[in-house]
Amino acid sequence: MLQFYLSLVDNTEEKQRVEFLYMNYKQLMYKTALAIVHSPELAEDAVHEAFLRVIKNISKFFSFSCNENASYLVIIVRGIALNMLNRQQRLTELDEDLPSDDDIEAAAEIRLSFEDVLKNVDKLSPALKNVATLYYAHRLSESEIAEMLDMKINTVRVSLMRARAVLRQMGKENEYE
Amino acid sequence: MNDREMYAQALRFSMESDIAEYEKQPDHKFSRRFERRMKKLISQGNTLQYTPVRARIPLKKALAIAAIIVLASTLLVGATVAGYRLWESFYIRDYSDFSTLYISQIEGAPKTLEEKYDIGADMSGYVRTVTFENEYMFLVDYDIPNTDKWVAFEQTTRGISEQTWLDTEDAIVMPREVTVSGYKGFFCQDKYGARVLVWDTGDYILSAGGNPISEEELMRLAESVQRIDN
Repeated sequence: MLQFYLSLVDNTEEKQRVEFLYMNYKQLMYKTALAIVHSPELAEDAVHEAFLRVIKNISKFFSFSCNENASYLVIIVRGIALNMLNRQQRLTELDEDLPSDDDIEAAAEIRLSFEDVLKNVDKLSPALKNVATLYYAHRLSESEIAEMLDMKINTVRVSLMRARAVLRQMGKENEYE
Repeated sequence: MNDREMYAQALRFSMESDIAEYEKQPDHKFSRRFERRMKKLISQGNTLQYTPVRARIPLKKALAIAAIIVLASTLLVGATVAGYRLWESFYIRDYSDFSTLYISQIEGAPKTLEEKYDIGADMSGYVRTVTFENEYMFLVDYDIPNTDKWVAFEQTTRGISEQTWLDTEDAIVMPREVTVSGYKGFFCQDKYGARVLVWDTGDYILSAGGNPISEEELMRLAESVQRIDN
């Protein structure tokens, strides 16, 4: 057991960072999860699981601002809550339904205004929004997103393709919500 | 602005808006089960990542770090004012929404738990669970099934508790000095109503807490604490 304590010593700052995140963001994370799973018990489980993920990725949290902390934590717990919900509702896997090449090519040619993009962001499902936010707003690589959200890298790629297709839509309903 | 920048900006706006919506919801009172799980998780968290021992560290330093294990516990509470000394070896420093308890004079105390203590009073009706046990800490929960009523007992080395984080935000009762079985200690009550006694036997730091429980009943349980390993 002494080994356990010794292993902690090298990581005092990381431990303090986890504590800081826990104390400051547990309410926000809970509320985020609750909005999805609608069950206090499941929402608490989601926050707990999210902190497991945070601990695994704690080194990344040293360079984040407060806003970034909130954003990352919301994305992580939202992803977990969605997975819980999906497991309950036995939804199909994300990577089973790809957008067609025609969709992607058509979307690539469209020139949109910022207002159009803002409207399209609202059409993104929470899962796609998570991946797109990490990729575009936080500039994480596909592999970093896969690690943070505990997804297969292929699922990240597919999600990004879908998100891009939704973001580029003009005047038609979102097919990938 | 190119497409990528537009997406980034729009997604940032959307996230800010989502966060603002979530934050509008009322604060949640986390279950005790959750708080205990988190306490365990944070105390053990880094072992998920780092299993090998990289260097020999002096035990005292190791213990000082491990003291943070006790953190995040809603068991120890207080209020928010300035720093003050309860007595010779207990010092509490208050920040805006938490406090830190410092225990000095740890040098002569046992570095590991050489004796084990627990509540000696009749706890029929409660289910006893040892929630954490090692050379430095011994945590026992008593729960009445199908109710929210709980009592918890903790024994730690003085080294472990040398520096402990206390949740003092909106505490009902600030730490105030009491005597438990002839030993100096403090009593406090957190914003959720949990009452806690922490006392110093000279060798170990003991604490008993519960909710709902009266101060008198808690004191009775604390004074019943006895050695269990002989």
